[in-house]
Amino acid sequence: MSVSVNVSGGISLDNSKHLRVALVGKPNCGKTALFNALTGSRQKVANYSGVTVEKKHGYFKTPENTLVTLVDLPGTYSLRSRSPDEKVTRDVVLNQFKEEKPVDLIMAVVDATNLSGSLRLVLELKQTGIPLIIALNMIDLAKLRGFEYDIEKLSSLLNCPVIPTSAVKKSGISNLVAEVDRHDQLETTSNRWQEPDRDMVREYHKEVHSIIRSIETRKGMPSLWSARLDKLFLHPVLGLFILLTILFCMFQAVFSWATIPQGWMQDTFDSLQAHVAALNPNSFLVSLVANGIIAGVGSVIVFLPQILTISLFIILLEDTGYMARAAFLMDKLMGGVGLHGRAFIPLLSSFACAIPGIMATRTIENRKDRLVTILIAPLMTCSARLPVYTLLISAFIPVKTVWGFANLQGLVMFALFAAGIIFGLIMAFIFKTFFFKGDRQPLMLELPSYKAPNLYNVLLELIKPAKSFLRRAGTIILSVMIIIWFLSSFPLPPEHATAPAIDYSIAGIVGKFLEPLFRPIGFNWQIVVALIPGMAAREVAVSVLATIFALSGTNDDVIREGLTVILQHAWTLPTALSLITWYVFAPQCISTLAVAKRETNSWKWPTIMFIYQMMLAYLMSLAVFNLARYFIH
Amino acid sequence: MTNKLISLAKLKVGMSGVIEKIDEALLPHNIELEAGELERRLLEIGIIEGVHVKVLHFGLIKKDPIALQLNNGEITVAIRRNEAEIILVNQSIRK
Repeated sequence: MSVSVNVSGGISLDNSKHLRVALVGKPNCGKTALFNALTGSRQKVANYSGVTVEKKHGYFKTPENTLVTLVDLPGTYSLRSRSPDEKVTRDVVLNQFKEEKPVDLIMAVVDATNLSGSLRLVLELKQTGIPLIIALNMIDLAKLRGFEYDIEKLSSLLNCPVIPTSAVKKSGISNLVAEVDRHDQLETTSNRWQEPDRDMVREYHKEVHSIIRSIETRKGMPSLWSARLDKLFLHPVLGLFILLTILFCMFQAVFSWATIPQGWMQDTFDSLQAHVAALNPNSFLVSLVANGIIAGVGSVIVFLPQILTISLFIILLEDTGYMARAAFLMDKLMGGVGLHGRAFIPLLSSFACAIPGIMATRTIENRKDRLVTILIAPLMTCSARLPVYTLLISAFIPVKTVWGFANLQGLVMFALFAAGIIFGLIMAFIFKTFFFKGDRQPLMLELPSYKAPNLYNVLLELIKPAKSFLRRAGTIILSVMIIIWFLSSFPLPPEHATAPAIDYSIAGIVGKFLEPLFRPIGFNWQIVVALIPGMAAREVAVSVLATIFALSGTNDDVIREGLTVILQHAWTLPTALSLITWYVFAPQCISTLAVAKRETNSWKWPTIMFIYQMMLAYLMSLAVFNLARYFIH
Repeated sequence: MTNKLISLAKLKVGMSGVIEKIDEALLPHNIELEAGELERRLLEIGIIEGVHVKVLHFGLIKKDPIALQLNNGEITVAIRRNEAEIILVNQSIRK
């Protein structure tokens, strides 16, 4: 613990009191903004042992030099648990986590614009006997809408301090921090909490309303803007049209704007690789660094702009409150194949990369719904498939105008995207019907008022996926790249070898060994070899093919142009179509499987994912290869 | 005078009423929850007896899901038509 504190905030533990504070509140109460306002960048994200729920800790110091560990708990309506997220909140608050230290103080976040929704949770928290401080958050917004409260009376009714705050405007934060210093004046009692049954929920509601009646000195108006915007955004036809427009912009951003910085990064890595390689062409260490580490890790890091772009869109949609509307609009459409409305966003993210997509499934409460979403996420066409698609399409699909307006190459690209979506939905239906039997979970979605996003929060939230992506690139992907470099370089070719070195390597031997298995779908051993390193990152297959066809030259474009021509001679059209089809379905990505393992906390699901994708890829390639041969000959 | 209760799922956009009863026995299609759980979840999100509810929006396909405004804008929630069937409202009370 002390190390992480030092690393993340530069705060020393010496001579200071240490306090653990749990931050609890219902969803959409501004809890994350408050967490960010209190701790700034001194945050640490990890997983609770045994569960796949994120553990978010932040640190701050009070005026009296107490070091506070603030535990940000998942938003919940009640202390009783329904989703894995909510279970964590309950277990931390009730001190049922063996590995976690007990909480000294609870900071409850109450939405001042909607007291009735928040206060029932506060009453439940009171039952735990742990000292409680209330942050009456979004007080500025509540005032703006005309709400007025007798805060002193609220404090005396609840028998705990109530501090009005506005996390976004950063007002009241210092009062809140100062109140933490006075925590020892609050009494600790024994835990009287028990899971409320329906009658108790009703009792709590009655109590909440009698409290509100006595402290609400002026009733405010609901957000008029939200009501107006909802008329537009939730309109059955117009709303869907707006959603599609937002999605279009998102794709546009990912596939065209983000590719500009991506190009710069690629150039930097290429020249770095060339410089390092030129140091000593015969040294293995140099080869490892240049071809293994720089080329390999670089080929993954170049996707950072795309990950940041898609994360930015998702954070903005989340922060503004639009995300719940998207789930509303998509619920019935997704429900047709048994998916939950909330599965829409993770699947959408998967078009950039399945990894953030799978991570985004955490918002799906039900385990079965979440697993189905994770399983089909890799079928959405991710950006790493594009280099492969581009190469094969430009080599084998003629530039031709069909139906008077459409470009055939573009049409094929579109068909590949559509195939991923259609088969993703079909697989979801199959999983739901045969493996995850059971009725649908109800949808209960709060549609929060729209809010303008806060720049500070957006930036803090944007750093998180970037950090975790880079950390992964530096650990898992780095080690995989070293292994693959090793497999494709050893054993060394004999003295006067005529074929490229990779022929004699373990990868080459494995490729030739596996070739008979892939012959029915039209793959030769060179393709099989390319598929192996392509497991680390799909687009690596392109450069491996270039290496295998023993091309000289360092410029990427020369290689690609040359490769296009060479491929046209080396492969038949059925083989090329078969390979394209393979890439639509095959589990060509170790990182995705690793993330699926981490998120489901078991090897079972990534194994199932691997097997079904493999079978689907093989069967589809087999069909495409034979159909193409039948029609061409 | 006895008021006729009507299922929330029967209300059109713009119509409103006061929730009088939540009865899980009225659920048309089963959902994967134990008895009493759906009722408890509805209560927890704020759908509770005595609350004024107004239908704001329907989804495109089969008018599902339904967006509801509770207590004149205190909170807006969305539920599916299937679950809305179990919520009985009284339209004659004005709030």
